Amino acid sequence: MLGYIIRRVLGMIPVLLIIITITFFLMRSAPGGPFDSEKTIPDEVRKNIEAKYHLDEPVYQQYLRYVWSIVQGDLGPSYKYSDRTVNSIIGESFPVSFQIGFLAMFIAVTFGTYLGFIAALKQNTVIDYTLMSFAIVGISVPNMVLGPILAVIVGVYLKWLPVAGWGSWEHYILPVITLSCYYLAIVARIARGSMLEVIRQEYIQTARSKGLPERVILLRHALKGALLPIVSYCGPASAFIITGSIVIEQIFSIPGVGRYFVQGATDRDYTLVMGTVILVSILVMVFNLLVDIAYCFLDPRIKLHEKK
Amino acid sequence: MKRKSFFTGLSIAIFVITLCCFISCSKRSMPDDGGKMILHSINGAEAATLDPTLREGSPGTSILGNIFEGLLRVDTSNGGYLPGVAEKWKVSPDGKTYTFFLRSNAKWTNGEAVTAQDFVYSYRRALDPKVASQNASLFFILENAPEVFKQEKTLESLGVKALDESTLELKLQNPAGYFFNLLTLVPFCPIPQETVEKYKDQWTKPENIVSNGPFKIVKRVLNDKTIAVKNPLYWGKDEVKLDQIIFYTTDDNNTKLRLFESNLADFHTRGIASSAYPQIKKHPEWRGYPYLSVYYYLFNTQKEPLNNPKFRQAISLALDRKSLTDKVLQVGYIPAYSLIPPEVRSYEPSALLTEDVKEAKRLLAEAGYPDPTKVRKLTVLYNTNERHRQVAQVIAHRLKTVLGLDIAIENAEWKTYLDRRRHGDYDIARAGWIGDFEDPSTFLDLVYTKSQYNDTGWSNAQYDTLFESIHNMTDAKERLHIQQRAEKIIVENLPLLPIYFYIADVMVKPYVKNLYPRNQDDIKNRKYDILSRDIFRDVYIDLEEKKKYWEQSN
Repeated sequence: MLGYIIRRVLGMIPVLLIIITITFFLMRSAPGGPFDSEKTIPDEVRKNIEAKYHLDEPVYQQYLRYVWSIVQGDLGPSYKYSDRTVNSIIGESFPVSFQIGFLAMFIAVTFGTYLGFIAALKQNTVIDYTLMSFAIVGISVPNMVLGPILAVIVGVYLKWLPVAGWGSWEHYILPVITLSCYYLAIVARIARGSMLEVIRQEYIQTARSKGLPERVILLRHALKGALLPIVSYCGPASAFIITGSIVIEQIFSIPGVGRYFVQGATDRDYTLVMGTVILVSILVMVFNLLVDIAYCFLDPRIKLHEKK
Repeated sequence: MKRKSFFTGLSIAIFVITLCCFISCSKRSMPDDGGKMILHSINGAEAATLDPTLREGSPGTSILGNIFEGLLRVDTSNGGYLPGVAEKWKVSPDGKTYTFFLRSNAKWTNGEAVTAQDFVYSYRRALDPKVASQNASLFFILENAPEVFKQEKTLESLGVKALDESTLELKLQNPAGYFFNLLTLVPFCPIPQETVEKYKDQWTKPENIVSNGPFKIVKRVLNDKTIAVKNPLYWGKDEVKLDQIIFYTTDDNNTKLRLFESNLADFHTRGIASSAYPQIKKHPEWRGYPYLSVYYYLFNTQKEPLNNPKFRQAISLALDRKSLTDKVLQVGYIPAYSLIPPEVRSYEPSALLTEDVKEAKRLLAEAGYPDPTKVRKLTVLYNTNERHRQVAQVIAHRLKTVLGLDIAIENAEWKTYLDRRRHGDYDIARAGWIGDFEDPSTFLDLVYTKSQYNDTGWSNAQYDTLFESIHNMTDAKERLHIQQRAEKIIVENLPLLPIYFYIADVMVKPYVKNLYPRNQDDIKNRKYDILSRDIFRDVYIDLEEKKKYWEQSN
């Protein structure tokens, strides 16, 4: 097991290097640069700034310089926020996105699985239809619509919760609900489908015919199998959800990392974009690894040993 | 049966918990600020920097204007100036030498005195090419400044000298009536040499920063908020009423409005959601007042047919600016018939643009295009934005219907748009300009041949001579006359097409006092700062009124 994990982690390095390389050259090929603005700066000033950030060197040299600084764990200075480094920006904003994303995913998985299973066990009843209709609504209403609606009703009219901002527990509620709805609905649908499939499996029928109580059949036998598709969906989804969402961050004015994917690119803040891309890449790879490990606990047929 | 009861039980439990959560939610009461006077201000996007010399963009300027103070400070009730760090001053008869006497009780937040040497350091730093400040050109009025900037002369030769600890002498290249206005600007504030040299790029961090204004920064969370508290060492501390200002960083206009409407913010500036305007405009808390800025189109005068001044004139004559601003945009913008906003004191335009479709057609024919449908398709380039799209569509439609010109519109992402503008890769391009200081020259610079801002390719020797001579004028009347002549050349040649003047729009809760313009009368009587700087030094909050306001709105 440990050997497998080490091999997988080592395998991430070349993947990451490829991602870095592609992103680096794609960013540089976009027109305009980090210091272009409507108030044009004189050429003398531009040259000085570019020299300060080594942007006057040939691109391949900048690339090598960048890769070397990453090896040392330095993501470089931000071009937009001149008194900050990319490390400090991500260090400050990632925990915020992580908290919101984690809570949203937790709610989505627990409630989604639970509701999906209920729908499956009550298949073709009013409960099933009601739950699945809600799930369709959850999937089809985008959070850029849901967020403002919640903010206006709960925040502006009822004045129960703050409409935006960051700092107290109250600030978590609306963004977490908004973010989790979509994922909750998807998980519910996956859970329903997988549970329906599992309860028709032979091993469940065997358990039933052995006279086991229904609760034991569901919790001990069916649950594990039914969780597999949910786990494989949630792995990569978690990586994206905890790295923030620009929509949620804009609507609720949250200082998370999600906005930098877009803002960094529009500002041509090369280093900031690279930093966020590296962050997401690592998380996606790590979560995929976690999913594979979880699989072997949930399904005894799957082994992580090397093929002989 | 057991299965059923298990799930039913769980479902009921979840339902009850959720219900309890909602019941426990009650209406938020007024936040307890501990009896302190705290102003909650929505400040727009994240400030790029808190270094006055490197100042960039309005959100940063607003914060900086409250934590630093220059020789003079802005009089928010009219945009004029009042004594700041300088208590008194005298001007030489030729208008070129200014001597400022600093007050003895002007202190930095670390307790040290603000000295004349601090200003010398700060002004020299602004012109140091290594510092690469985009505000450097504001200092070109100082003696030898352009040469210093080009490294043809040493920093020491700059026209700024500390005669002693508290006497500062500034020598100007030429006399300038707007010099006092310049001195109220953020880049002209002193900066603490020791701190800057010790912490380098990091000196503006809350734990390092040393400032000298009415407030001082205590906390800064990126893309969340910046907190400033009253500076107990500020010389005019008795006049400062607010205990704290919280500048919220929010760049989404709808979110800003929700924050204001749910009473979480007392002051809302820079960008009101366009969809909300119809209701907002009737609101007594809304104030829109003239702002030193213009929305215009650039003509690429290097390309046919836009190289023909008559063709450009025809386009301007065919427009209907008033219906664009009043019927389409409906946000209170003012139609622009000149490049320089009419509210600029000390200036009055001598020639205005007119609108006349017949004349437009005549000029078009005269320019060699009797059949406008034969003119090649022109494209209006704008950076992706809903309002720019609207304006471009209206103008394209208007030119098609009244002149028969075929105009396409094209959006580009911000940096791509800037890049194309810079390289002349456009026919007509949208542009906007916010003046740096209250003087026509900040606008006239836009089409000066040697100006870094001139993306039109237009060059006019007569205009350049006039523009250059403005700086040598000692006599105010003569200066005005030259400026008028220069603007007339623009109006006649139209390398750019003024469309409308922006307004500064703010929303202010009624319990926030002394914030100009305080009401519609103040706007009529020009009691506002046309640079819209949001200085809160003299602002206070009527806490009783605020309490009542909360009770009523709940």
